[in-house]
Amino acid sequence: MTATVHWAGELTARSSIVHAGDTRGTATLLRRETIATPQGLELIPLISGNAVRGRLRRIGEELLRDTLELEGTLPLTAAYALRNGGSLHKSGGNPLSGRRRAEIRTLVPQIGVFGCAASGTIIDGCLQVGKAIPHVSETEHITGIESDVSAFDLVQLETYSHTDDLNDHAAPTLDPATVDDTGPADDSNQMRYSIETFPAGTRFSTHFRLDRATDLQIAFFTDILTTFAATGRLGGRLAIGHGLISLDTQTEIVGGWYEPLDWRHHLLDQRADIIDALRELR
Amino acid sequence: MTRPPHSTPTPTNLTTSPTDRWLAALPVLAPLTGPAGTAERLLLCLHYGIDWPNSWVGRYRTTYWSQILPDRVLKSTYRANTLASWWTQVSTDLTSTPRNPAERAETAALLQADSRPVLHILREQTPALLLRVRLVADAVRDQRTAMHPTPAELPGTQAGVDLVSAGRP
Repeated sequence: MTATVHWAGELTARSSIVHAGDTRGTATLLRRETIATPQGLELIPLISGNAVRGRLRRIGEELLRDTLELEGTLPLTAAYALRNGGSLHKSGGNPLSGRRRAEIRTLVPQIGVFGCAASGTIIDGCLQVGKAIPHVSETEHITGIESDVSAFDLVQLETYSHTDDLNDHAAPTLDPATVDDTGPADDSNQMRYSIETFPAGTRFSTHFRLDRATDLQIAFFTDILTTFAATGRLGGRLAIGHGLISLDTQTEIVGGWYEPLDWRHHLLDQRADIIDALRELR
Repeated sequence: MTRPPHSTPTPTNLTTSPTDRWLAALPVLAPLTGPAGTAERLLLCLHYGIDWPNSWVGRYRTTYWSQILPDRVLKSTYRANTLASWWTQVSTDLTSTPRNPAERAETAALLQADSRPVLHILREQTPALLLRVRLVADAVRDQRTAMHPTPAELPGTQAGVDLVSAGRP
């Protein structure tokens, strides 16, 4: 039996979020889309579903990897297919048959949920991920959330410096043979750059939907969402403090029904079959 | 014999705004009207208010028209819901300040316009607007040079050719 389950989500930025779009000089701007508002067309920054989906995919891959102890067991194509969705390229041999694609979807929940590209074919998954739309006045008619904050007042520009301290007294001593004294004396790597971000505290509306998913896929994805909600990151520049988020969801069973399942025990019983199936991906 | 009535010459520059005078230097290009006209005139005020000798912008003349000015005009529109907010950001960024009472008065008046359509045009048509501003600036400079040439700027002198070819804003 399969079910269609919908999660309505509200994301909250716990630190400022970077989501690169255009670059102007040394400034990286947010990704923007045209939104038809009651006042006319406006360019509004928002987070793509692709970015959200990518984070969820990586959480799923790590949950699967840790449960089945997959590290060091998979060929490159399979590793890519699980981690980042793989790529569509000529692989030699025949593409996977419809029957074999269905078997892999059922057997490997990471592929059943997210899909992948491998063995010269696209294996589609059952997951749909919504864009993360900020709660601003220009998106009230989309999110249903009233706001007196305009998108044009919301975003900020954060400035950073790349410090060139190679000539400071504490800098490591260079091998004189490697130093080129023929260049300009003020050849410095010092620079200032800026990044446009959504401030901490920004709220976004999004959604997740599993279409006709199995009990295994629903259980697996529910754990992914729980992990994302508790410890999730979103966007870029995570290494310097950007992208902390929290997530609140409301679940709705749209069609069918499902039974809760301990997906870890279920997969551990089929570990060998799963690894064999993944090794078939070329 | 009666004296001719005393008359004080009325300088023409008292009846036209600074942007009117700048735009008049390029008669082949009719000034834009409506929100586009406001955008064009604000950009002219921005350009002419830059403190070239003392600001960082003066060190980047070679990329001023191609990168510095368009990047900063556009970036500021993304974080401004009003013309006043946009002007505050971009003028601070470029160290631009109206230079005299007439320019100050006109800038303040232009900033009273309905913000949304002007910001829309500044955002959507930045290169096209700045192309016009550059053409006007070139025409104003050429006019000024022709009216008040320094000996070095006299046509036919190497220094005069050098000034033009150096692309001085």
